[in-house]
Amino acid sequence: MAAVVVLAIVGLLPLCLMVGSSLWVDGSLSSRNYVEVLGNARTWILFRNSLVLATLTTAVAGLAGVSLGILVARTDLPFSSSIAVVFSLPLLFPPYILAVGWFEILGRGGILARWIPIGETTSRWLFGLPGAVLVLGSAFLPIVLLLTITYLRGMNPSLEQAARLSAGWPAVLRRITIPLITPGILLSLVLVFLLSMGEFGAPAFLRIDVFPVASFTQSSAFYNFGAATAAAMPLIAVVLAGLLMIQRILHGRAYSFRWGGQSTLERIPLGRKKPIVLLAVVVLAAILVGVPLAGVLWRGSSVAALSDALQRAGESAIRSFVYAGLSATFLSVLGFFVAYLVYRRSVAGWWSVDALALFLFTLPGTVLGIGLIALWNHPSTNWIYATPAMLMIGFVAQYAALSSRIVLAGFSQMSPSLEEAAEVAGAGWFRRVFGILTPLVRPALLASWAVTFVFCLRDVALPLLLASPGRDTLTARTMTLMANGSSELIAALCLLAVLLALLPLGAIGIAWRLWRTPA
Amino acid sequence: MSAIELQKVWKTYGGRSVVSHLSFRIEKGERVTIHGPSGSGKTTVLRMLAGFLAPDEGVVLIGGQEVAANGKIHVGPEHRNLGMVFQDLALWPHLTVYQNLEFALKAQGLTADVRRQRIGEVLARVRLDEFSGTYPARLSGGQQQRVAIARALVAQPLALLMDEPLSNLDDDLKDELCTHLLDLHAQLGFTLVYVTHSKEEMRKIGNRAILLKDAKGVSV
Repeated sequence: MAAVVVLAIVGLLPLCLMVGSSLWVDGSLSSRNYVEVLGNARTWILFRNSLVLATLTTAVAGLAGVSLGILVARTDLPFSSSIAVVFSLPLLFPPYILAVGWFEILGRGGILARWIPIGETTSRWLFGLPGAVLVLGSAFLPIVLLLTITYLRGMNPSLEQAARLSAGWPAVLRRITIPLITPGILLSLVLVFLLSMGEFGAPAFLRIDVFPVASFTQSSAFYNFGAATAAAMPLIAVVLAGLLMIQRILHGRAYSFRWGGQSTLERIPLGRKKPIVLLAVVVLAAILVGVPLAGVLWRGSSVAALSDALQRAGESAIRSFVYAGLSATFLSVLGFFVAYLVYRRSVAGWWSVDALALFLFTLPGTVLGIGLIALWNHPSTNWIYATPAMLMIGFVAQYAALSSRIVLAGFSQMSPSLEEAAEVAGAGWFRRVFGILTPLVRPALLASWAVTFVFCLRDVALPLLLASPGRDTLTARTMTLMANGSSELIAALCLLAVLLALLPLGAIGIAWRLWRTPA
Repeated sequence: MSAIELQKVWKTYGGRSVVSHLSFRIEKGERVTIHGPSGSGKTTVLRMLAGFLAPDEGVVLIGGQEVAANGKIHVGPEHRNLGMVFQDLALWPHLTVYQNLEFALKAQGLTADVRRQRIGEVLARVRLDEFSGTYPARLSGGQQQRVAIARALVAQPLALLMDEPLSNLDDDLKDELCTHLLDLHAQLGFTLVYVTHSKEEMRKIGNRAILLKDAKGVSV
């Protein structure tokens, strides 16, 4: 129950207060903010821009992600695990790093412009819709890729084998496999759409006029929270529509195709096309991941740039690490109890807790940040607002869905009779939870910690809005320095952010392997 | 010419022999049960016949044609002209009963009229003609079983492979479906290869049994 209260305080309350305060103008109830914002033609231009960007990003990420997912999970493509890891890398750091990387390649002073005099054209292309779609498409592609792989690997192999008895692989994929994993694909597409709609960092760097950037400007530059809330309303409406769609996708299906068996799926032989397909995949990985990271590395890896970055943002990097670590720990604990509640359906309205967590996850960080400011920015609560706890509250609200969903996946692998057996043996709730359930879902808890750590580390909007002065994070510091910092410094800061995400995850991966390997 | 033949087939998993030097022949129209305890390699034999696995050594022949030999599959499952009923039935949940049956016929390139006629006949035989527009999840266990049999038979296969299809049903339903299967066999005359660990099903369904023990077919 405490988990529900925490989620309501950190997530629901700020949103309610935010809506309430947007309707309270000069001491009376008024719709002035809404009339002004929604009656303004620019609002709808921004909304259209956001919709177009999110739609194109979803199309690119969806097409590439599903194709790659099928290639990785179902064919005999060599190095498939490594390919999945490479394409998933952009999920580990904020999308603006890819934008900075492309800027070093395609910008006016970029690598390409040194050889071919087309810097003006490529720069215009990058700082426009095509560039934003390329950056966000490759940043969110891993979501589609990983969900496609997960759904494909969860499929009952005999469903495909039954079809293989009468048809070749193309027909089996078209008529059986892909329709069966359609809920997973649609779920990933809705998530990518919502995350693209709410993305702040990359569009801000690429100077794309979209809703989250405008919403952020309203709140941080003009301190007009009422107008910022009103401006956020179309985004909230889109998120709610998206969540309703997810609800329909996941629960509107009358069939189930998943199973818990051990038999491995037959790999589709690529035959003579294998080298060509591998080459195409490697080239795509190079374009979407390798080139922008190489751009950052090329510009920012000099000793001077790195030492400058460390000098100007070293403390921010440490704070990022600490805040993300503490938030991930709290999120894993909260996620455990929210997942337990959903798994056991132990309180009435358990689904609303899950829905609230998902709503907060898909809500743009700028909107959530404004809500949290509206709630906590008062003299009586300044003891929280003026501390790093504020930012961690934001992280908890935004990413509770991630931790709860991951731990829930762990719970769903377990038979309910395991806890029931302990109950029959006379174990109380405390012993059942900490003596039986916690050890069994330990891998899921570790995964939850690692994933939420990365998401807190890569967040841009919440640190920009919520980090107290002098206690910013690396992402917030980088975004601030982008206004007047040198290209070398910005690239070095991006490199630092990449290392900050990769090093602890690498350490966790090695520790996990050592722990799992029998002596 | 035998409908199905295995010649000195050998299959190992992780260094353990699941099937070793197994040879047998099944003639056209025969009802053969493959019987043995858990882990004796029954399902592996069936999966090698279907084309999902290749024998490490030995030869598999279907209709006199070599379809797999010595670690290689020469003829894929879709070209072996076999029907199969899986242990978990594997009915496609997103397709109606009619569409489940239509899949194989579409792959054969038959016209819509021929498909309709063929599906109508088979559904009538399994007494499910009124359920053609129903999704599998809305059918009872026995009805789902009959859809799986109808789907396996609709393409008029050379042989019907069944992998412990009745193991999850209650005794009354098992009896009913056994009788129904024997009726269908009498009407259509297909070759039946039926894997089971139940001696009762072995006696009822087969007119011949292959007993698998210690990875070998010790008795025919």
